Amino acid sequence: MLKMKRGKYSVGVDIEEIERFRKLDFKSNKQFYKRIFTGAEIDYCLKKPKPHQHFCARFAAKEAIIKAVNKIDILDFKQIQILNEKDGAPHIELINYDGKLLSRDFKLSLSHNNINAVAFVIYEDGNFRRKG
Amino acid sequence: MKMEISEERVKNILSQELQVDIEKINENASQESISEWDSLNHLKIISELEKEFGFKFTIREITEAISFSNIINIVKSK
Repeated sequence: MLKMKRGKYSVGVDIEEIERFRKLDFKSNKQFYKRIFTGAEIDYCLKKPKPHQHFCARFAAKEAIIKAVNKIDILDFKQIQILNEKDGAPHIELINYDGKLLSRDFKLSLSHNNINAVAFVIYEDGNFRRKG
Repeated sequence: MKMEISEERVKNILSQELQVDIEKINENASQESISEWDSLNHLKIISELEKEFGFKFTIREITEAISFSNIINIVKSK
């Protein structure tokens, strides 16, 4: 039987409509995207045939993380970075404004269909303390 | 006079980003009273306000800017 490591865990989930991001095109709304997404995230999404799907999923992930951490006042959206492993699996990094890694104590699952993107996050509490 | 102009600008941004009639944006307008004011639209509002007024909201201010009156107070404090 699979057992989770003892500790304090919290979860967050979020769902977003992809159509809203399709209407919010990058070229006309650069300031919004740069307020929410890191340069690495923007580069990743813009390389995809349908960037809006990927922006939407990442936005859902950021919302889910904020719910899991439950301390929105200490987290800026750009401190939350969703990147992908070589095999395509997404992972979360909390970073400071200089890009320094603060925590990777998260598990993330993303899913989408043509209408919605969903993100589910498990946060293993303990190591993240805001440093910048 | 200057603040009246700011209030009109804030009302216009809220109306535009929430896609609701400007008459709905009164001093009691808030995330609770306007169903269109969800998290995505909230960040669009913040982004537009920053562009319009030329300052950055702090993280705490973003969490507090959830009503018309709070936004006005934040704009006044800048």
